Amino acid sequence: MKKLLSKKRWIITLLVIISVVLAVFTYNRATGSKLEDTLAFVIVPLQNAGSSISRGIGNITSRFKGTDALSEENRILKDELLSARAEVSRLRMLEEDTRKLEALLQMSDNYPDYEVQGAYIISKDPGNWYKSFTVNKGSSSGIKKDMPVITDQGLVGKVSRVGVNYALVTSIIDDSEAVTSKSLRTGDICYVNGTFSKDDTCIMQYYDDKADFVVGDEIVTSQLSKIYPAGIRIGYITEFGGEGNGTVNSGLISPAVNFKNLSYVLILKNNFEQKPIEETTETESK
Amino acid sequence: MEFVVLFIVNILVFILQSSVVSHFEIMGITANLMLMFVISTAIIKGPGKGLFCGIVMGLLQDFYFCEYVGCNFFIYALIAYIAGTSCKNLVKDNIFLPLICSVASTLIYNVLFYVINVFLKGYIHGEVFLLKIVLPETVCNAIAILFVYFTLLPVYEFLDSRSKKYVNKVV
Repeated sequence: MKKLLSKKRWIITLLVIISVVLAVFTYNRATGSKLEDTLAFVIVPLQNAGSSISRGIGNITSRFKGTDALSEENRILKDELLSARAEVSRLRMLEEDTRKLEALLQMSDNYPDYEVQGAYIISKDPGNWYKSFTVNKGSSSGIKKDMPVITDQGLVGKVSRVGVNYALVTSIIDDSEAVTSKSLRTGDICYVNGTFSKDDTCIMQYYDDKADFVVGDEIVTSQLSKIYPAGIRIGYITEFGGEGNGTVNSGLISPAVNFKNLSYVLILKNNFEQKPIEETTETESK
Repeated sequence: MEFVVLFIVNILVFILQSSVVSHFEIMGITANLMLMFVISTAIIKGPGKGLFCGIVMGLLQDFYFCEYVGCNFFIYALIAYIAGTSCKNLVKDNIFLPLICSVASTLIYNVLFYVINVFLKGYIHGEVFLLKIVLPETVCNAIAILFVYFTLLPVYEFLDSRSKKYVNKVV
């Protein structure tokens, strides 16, 4: 018994030491190691197959939805389409005006066109704690760390690690994410955090007491953000209060993207990351 | 050879969990088939092979979904080793053995994960996580392990009996 106990103790101590060493050496790395990339060549194609099968099953189950629900959805979508069309024609006129005014002012284009790479989500985090997922495009398609990930509805998150044929995406509803953002209506700055405790919502925090936020305001990424381009939609304010601690005002945001049935995302390939000052001066001196 | 087969089965279970099972969530919760597979192997085959499965499974999850390698590796390996050593001398086809192991392992996994990744970051609302994540997952896993354990048990027994026959013939 004594011998067994000591053996147990040795194995557990060894486990602790190995995992601490691994954690220290692998924290916040940008690319996968050789071992991970090699394994990924086997795993990623199989995950591709598996996720396409589960997408197929999802399509079949959605076919059994009642016709009532579908016609209701159809009606809502038609209404939305009408208002969207009106909005588009209004915005076209505005765009035309802006182009003319910009030409007058000889301003450069403020909103550059993005180069976009589409990717399928092939696997989601198996645990229930984190909300990260992997996509089937990696460094072989030109993906790099910290590239923004969006859908047609809004911001999804950013690329946090890249392998040769896969990339890990951390979504904005994940706790480790914080996005500098602003209200589209007033331009007031706030910070959008993911949260553990509520499903598919983000917490917004702002320090300015005079800031003008109301429920229903659209929140977009701001130009202060280091990695996201300005003006990508994040979501809408749903309520105020929540997990504030006195000095910080806070509220809840429901994201524009539906994270539940996300299967296809777009990765913006322009890297918006600003280089640290030392780095740029170094390259200039060379 | 047996370890190579176990390694391949581990990868298959990981793929099944990450790209098929995790698409179907009930109230935002999915059963953790990977943990259930590791536990079942540890109960039936003993601490050595359980530890191996735990290490491989933890490393796979760390490699492809975590900020750093080490957290899941440690938790899976620890749970597998404890389950393996404590169930070594028990009768394997009792239904309560996998059930109790499943509940205990889910609780240990979530408590350790909470302490390592959440509590140390400064979040102290433990009761929210208990109600939102731990309790639903415990129920899900308890149902899942019945399927996993009682499919694995005959397979492992069949393989064992075959290998014994083979050894006898050779001798």
